[in-house]
Amino acid sequence: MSEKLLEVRDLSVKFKTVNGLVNALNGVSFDILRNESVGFVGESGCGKSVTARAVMRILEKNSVMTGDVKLFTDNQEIMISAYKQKDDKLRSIRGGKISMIFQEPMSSLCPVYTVGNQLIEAIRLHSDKTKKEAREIAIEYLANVGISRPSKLIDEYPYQLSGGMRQRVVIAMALSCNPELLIADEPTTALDVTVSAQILKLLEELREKHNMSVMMINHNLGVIAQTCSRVFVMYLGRIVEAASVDEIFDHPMHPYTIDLLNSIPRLNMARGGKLARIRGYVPDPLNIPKGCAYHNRCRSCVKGTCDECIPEMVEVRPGHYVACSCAGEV
Amino acid sequence: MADIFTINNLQMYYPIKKGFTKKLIGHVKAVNNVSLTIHEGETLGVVGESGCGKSTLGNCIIRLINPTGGEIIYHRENGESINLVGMPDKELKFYRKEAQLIFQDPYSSLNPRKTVRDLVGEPLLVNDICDKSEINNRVGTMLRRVGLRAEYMKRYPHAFSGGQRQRISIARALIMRPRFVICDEAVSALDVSVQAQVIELLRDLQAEYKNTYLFISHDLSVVKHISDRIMVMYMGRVVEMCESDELFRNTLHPYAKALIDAVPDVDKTRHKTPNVVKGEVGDATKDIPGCAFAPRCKYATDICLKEHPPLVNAGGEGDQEHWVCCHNRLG
Repeated sequence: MSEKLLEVRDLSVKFKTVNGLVNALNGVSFDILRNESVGFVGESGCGKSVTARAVMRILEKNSVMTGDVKLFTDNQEIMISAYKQKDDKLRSIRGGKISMIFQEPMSSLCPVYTVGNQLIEAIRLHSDKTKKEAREIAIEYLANVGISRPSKLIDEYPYQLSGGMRQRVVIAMALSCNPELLIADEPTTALDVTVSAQILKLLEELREKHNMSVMMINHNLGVIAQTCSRVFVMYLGRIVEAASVDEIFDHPMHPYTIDLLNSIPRLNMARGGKLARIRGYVPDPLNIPKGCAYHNRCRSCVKGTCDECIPEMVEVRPGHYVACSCAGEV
Repeated sequence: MADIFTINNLQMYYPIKKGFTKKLIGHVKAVNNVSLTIHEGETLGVVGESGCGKSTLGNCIIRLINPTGGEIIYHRENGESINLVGMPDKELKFYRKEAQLIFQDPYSSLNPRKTVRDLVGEPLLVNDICDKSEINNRVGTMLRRVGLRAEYMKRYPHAFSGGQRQRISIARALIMRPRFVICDEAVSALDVSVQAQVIELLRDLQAEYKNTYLFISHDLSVVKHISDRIMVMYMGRVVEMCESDELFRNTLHPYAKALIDAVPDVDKTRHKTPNVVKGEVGDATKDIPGCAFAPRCKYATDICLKEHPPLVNAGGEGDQEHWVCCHNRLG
């Protein structure tokens, strides 16, 4: 059993909006171990990106965050959630210990600076290297992420690069300070499949090489199956099921996970096979249904139980946690 | 099965102009000598990565743009065959009733200032199919058919979620009972559970109305699920075209193989890194003498760089047609 890197307990995030308080995250708890890759999967609005932003402490100003986020590094515990977002301590952790890759590589690079400029800035912020040394490190990292002419590309602007190249630059930037946790928020969603496969392969290789942990956030169950060892399925701001990849895909327990898995078209599906249609739509986060948030779409909903109380996470099989009052019977 | 379209050597070349004098310096060959037939009542899937010309092909067939070369022969129900290329917009009015388009983004394809009734009922009024008194009735029936409540017709698009908006787009396209519908990335912007609802809705409606779909998507697993035949495009050309099962069972073109391998799938690629093809899609403005995929292809030989391979029927299982465009095909 490897040691714990990140511990999140009872994390809740609320956003104050003109229409009222939006409960984006309701008591999420999980651990990330060293050198493992965990996946967060769910549909839009389920809170997977908010979880990442809360761990990184880059939430918007209108948010209220409660709960504990603890990082175990250099033989000490750092309570990330205890600091103010602007605190210097957090600034050294961001980028230094925890880095993040975003979905859209064009908007996460500044268009008026060269690639090198942006990479060198990140390296120099977190170390006391000179400009020249930092430039060499930057070139080395660009080569690491599979860019063929790094010493030329370092002086180019983001608009001169293709989407795949930009995402490689963003990854190089995220890795430039040897983070212990890499948060990848839909890193390949904007890319073509062949390029996306290249990037996922690269991330996997780099994770092994640098002994990092990866928190992979994705709506694509296929990507999660390919890259992660453990999966958290989220629905409306809660984790509804947590287990290893094989457990989730071979023995899903939560009705939402089951429905989700039945609704994706698979390559080995027989011709004419039907996709499952989940009833209705994801409810408005402003008024989440009482009880289990999934009960009004669920096929095995029990009146009086599911629509009354919120189910607890229960370990149904070793390492397989489900938040459903009828789990095991389904 | 009768054909609805016969398309020969279709070309869509966009000019590249430079400088003050707008000197012509080249062309982007978005669609380059594409030939295909579309059978009545089938779903033809078109896959490829961004920039491969799949949307341009769709826009040419629906005649939103006028192709620069080739011909699109449309076989009407009354037996008449008409070439749509170069036909003036006025004469195309009959075609607008018979061919419709569903767009990718349900947020930008619905006018926010019109109610659902106006959006869905507009084609009926424009084409003088029915008068205003009947509109409510017709629109209500269509809305119920796509799984929305009839009383929603007084609302504006902002009141609906992405999946519901896409249902409105589908209602708008299908209210004319078109023979031919192009779905241009119609489910790509949707969440998986909503995507499944919309795909199954499209299939149900096809079974009911017997229309023909051209289903354009970058997502191979979606295309495989919905299509009878699949056409794979790369840089403006058809590289492989055959029955959907045949494509996955007996892939002949290295690019089609690379595309299939790269799809992240819950069963196939679990804990596995797929075989990855190197490089990225080339520059569409450059004229390449050989096969466009050759620089990325691991099977490429000298001839691939010099000569463009012809599209030939390699023959699939039974008498199936299996078109492929490759010097060193697999299998």
